[in-house]
Amino acid sequence: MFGENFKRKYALSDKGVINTKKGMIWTVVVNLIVMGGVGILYLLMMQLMDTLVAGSPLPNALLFIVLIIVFLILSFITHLEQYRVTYGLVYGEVKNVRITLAERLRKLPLGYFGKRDLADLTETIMGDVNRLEHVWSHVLGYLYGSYVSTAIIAIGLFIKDWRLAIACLWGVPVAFGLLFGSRKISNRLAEVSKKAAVTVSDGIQETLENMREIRATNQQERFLTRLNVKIDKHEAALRRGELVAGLFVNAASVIMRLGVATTILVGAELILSGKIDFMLLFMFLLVISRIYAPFDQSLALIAEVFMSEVSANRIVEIYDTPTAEGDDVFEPKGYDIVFKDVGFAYDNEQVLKDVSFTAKEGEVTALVGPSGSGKSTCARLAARLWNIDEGVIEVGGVDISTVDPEVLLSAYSMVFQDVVLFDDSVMENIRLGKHGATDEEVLRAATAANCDEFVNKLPDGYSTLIGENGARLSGGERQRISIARALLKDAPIVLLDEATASLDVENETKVQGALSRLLTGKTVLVIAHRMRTVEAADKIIVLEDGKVVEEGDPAKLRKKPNSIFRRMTELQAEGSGWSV
Amino acid sequence: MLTPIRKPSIGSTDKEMITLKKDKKPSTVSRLLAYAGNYKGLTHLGLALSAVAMLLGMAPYICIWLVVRDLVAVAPNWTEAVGIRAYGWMAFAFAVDGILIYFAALMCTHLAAFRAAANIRKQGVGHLMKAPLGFFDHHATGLLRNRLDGAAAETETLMAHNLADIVGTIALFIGMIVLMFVFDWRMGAACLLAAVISVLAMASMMGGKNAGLIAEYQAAQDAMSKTGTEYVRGIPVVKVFQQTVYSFRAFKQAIEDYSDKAEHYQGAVCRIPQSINLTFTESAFVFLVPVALFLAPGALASGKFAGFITNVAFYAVFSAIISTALAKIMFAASGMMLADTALKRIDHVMNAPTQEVASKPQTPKGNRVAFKDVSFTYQGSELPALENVSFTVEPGQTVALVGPSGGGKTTTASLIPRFWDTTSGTVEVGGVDVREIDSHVLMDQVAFVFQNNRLFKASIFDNVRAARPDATREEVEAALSAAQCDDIIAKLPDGMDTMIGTEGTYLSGGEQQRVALARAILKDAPIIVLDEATAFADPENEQLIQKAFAALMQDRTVIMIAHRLSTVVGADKIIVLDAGHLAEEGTHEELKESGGLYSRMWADYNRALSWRISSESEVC
Repeated sequence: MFGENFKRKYALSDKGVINTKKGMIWTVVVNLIVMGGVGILYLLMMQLMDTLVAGSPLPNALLFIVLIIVFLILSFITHLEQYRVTYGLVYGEVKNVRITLAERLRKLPLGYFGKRDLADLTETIMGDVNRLEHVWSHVLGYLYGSYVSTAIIAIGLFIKDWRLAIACLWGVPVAFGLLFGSRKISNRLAEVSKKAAVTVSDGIQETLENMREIRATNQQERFLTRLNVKIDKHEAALRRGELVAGLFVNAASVIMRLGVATTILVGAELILSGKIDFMLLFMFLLVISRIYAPFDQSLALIAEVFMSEVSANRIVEIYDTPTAEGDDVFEPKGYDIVFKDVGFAYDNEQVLKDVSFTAKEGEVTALVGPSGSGKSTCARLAARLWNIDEGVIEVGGVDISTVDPEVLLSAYSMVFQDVVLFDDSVMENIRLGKHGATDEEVLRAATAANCDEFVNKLPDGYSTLIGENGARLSGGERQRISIARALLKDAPIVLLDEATASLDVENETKVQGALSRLLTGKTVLVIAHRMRTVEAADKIIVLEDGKVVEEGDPAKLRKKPNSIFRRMTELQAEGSGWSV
Repeated sequence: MLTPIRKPSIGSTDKEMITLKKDKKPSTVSRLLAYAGNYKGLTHLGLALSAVAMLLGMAPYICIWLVVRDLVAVAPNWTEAVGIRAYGWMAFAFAVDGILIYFAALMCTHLAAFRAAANIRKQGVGHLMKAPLGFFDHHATGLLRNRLDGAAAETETLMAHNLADIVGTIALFIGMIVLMFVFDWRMGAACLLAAVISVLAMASMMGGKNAGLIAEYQAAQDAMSKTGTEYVRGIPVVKVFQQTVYSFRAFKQAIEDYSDKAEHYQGAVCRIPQSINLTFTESAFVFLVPVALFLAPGALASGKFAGFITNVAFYAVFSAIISTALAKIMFAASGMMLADTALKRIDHVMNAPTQEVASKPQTPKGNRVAFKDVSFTYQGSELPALENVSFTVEPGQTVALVGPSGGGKTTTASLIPRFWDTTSGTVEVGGVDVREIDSHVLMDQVAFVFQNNRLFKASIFDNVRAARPDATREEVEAALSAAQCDDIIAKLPDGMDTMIGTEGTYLSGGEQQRVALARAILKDAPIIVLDEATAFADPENEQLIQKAFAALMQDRTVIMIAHRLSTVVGADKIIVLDAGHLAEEGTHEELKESGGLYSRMWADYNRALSWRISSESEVC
């Protein structure tokens, strides 16, 4: 029961499994003690009956008060312990899971973060763990503990009188039978309404996303009508599902309540036929009225457990994703980047095939090609943001797949399109480039990247907090911070997405100066979009459909008739000559 | 027997428990009911049935009382109590009726709940249809959808289950109090006393100095959530700079801080009150025993001992219901909180601003576009994005908007198709204020092509024809051809009839832009508002897009947002916007010579043009 499956199903650690067991055991103890309290009621009733029937003296009040006090103390103490093992310990577990997840995340290959929606990942580490926290603390121990204690009590009832026991408990197997028996139907119906729900969700998304186009083409009514049809279908599916599946689930939860009635009914018959006496019936009534409550609620809790499985799955998925690791030492001889027969597939689609080239230290190597040709992938593989499938990538003679990515990255500066900023000051955001850099160093890099111009307009200059993910800064401003970071880092290899340098026309000239300084003497791999800016590169690699199709000096490539590079250059020259 | 009550943790959903007390519950419910429309009555019916069902559910306990009474009367000759058979059947009949009515109640509430959720979705999207288009630039559609769709689904639980439970529980409590007086109010009160202690214990966790602890604990949770988001989002960058250790340390600190606070509050502070709460909810009979013993001598003396025993037996069994009722209330309360937050999220959508509809729409005469003293400030911003901007675009002219980013180019262009409405001043098309033109008419008059054009999930043909539903196939073909889409059509399996968005029919950004241009060409609107940016398009696409631009702009009135100065050299007029002001206005030649902002930009531009990425340091 508490094997590996259980652990994975609820994303528990070994310690978490032990805690759940403890929680379960204490739940059983608590439940049985409450039954002990019911025994006091039974005893009281018995003695009162004796007084009535046999004229014995009234029950000893002192004795009962002592019993009740002892019971209360025991109940309170066991509750305290049950609370400790469920709530007290769960926070330790939650803490460990969060920290393990966080630690794990930073070891994943960087490319993983491009693939997964970051909001989704954050939801996993915060929301999913929260949901599980609730299930671990409130549900698991209670649920399983209640099953066990109910089973123990049921056995006791059967020993006392099997006929009444059946009258009492028949609802339990029937309810569970209904639940599981109807599973096929209800699953199918749930799937239908789930599909309808997704259709609605997609429909809403599509309508909102295309709002501009819908209005531009005056299609408001048409889209609303179409969406309303989808919503109506969803409503109808929900109704059908509720009528059939809901009926079973509700039937299961209420059928057990019939137990009280059938106990009275059967009990009355048995008493009239002289098979049992009143006290036995009374005992069953005391127990039956208390035995159903946990089941009633476990049915409600089961829904939560089911939902938590989705959360647990997402957590386990992160645990299962292979991390990228390697040596902590990286001592290359020089910084030439060499691709040897590199192959790489992404989501089962071959992105690069047999790619070989060398990007020499002190030179600019430009990757050129139509969108989707694999040039961005090449640049990302060069820094081991993904692990390659075939071939080798070497830096200064060292196979990069043997080096810990974070250590490897110390040799790289990357200026890409997406710039991530933190809710901190401009100063700290730039200082990220080099841990422990002095304010002077940071300011020097910032000035070189032409940040002064906009930072001086901010209320507190470089100490201004820039909001969550730099919400207060424009695209061009973010890029300049990114370049400042790279300047501060001053790594021997620079990976550059050239589009970043051409987005913001007004600042282009200024940023270009800073970039030129950054690139001097480094191994530079640039993803080129504008042919004119890479005319002075030392080498051009033209990629098409994941293969290297041309390679060489730009001047020579341009002279070559029929060369792709030449065609692209010409096309773009024509484009930039365009005017209204 | 213990009940695994959902203890009120102060998790993410329970956070509102405290604030809930301040809110008026009826408002949440009545507002939700309003969404159910003509199904509203079903909810009322369902709730009434639920109350009836709950009362019927209590009936078997009355039968127990009757059974015990008859038995005690004949004790110990049990078999003489022949009347109890009938009570047994009565109990059974009441229980079955209760269940059937409960089903009926749930059906009613479910139907109404589904209707309300459907209406929330419909009304929400309907409302957003009227929001200014600019609203969507500032609100991620995914988030809006999530708010609306997710919140609508969440209200279902409250409307379908929780409301019925709340009403049922109220009926149960009323029934309990009635039964208390009917049989023996002293023993009834003894049972309720336990419930009171439970509630007090719970209240003590929230009040007094614990309120401060809760606030601290929630602050720690928010802090953890915030650092967590930054941590995850930052990993890709931070890793590049070998600093995951430091950002990890900050997050770890926040996690530990939260866990410590949670452990202190939940684990230590709440432990005793929670244990008291559970001890008394699960054993509501503890006060019944001493009270019964206290009453016993009197009952014996007055000769009503048999009736007394009957009452003791009844309350001994009946006290179990109290814990069930309390648990139900707790579930219902958390459902109420969820619904409350769901409603808040729905309100975010429903409170989106809408655009005024012209009361007496006028028809524009001609195609002159005029800005008259236009100022505009974005919502939530203090500085105006545009201030007192006036200019005119004569029919047939091509006017370019240039200037530094943030200067107001895009804002200016957005005001023409009413993405936003001006804060002051007017934008006129054909001599009429755009706010006085029927939106359909305005959209027929003005075509706009901005960045990030989107295509519908439909065939290319339908996508283009959306611009003019009565267009023939030939006309669509011609428009696609003029927009340089021939190569796209050629490579798709079903040509023009290929569905977009299905497997293998992915179009790149540049290709999408061309299809969007075909749409604008087919629309044949006399006024074109255009963003010339071709960012991220590869050279081949870029050139084709520019050809499509040329086809679109032919013989029309054009307002173009220009990013590259080379494009605007031939414009009839260039408008230079700087920090929301119209800085200069004139032709390229005029402005180049004027020595103003434009001439500086032109010089910068030419310098940038000569820049090359190279391994040698160069002087800029």
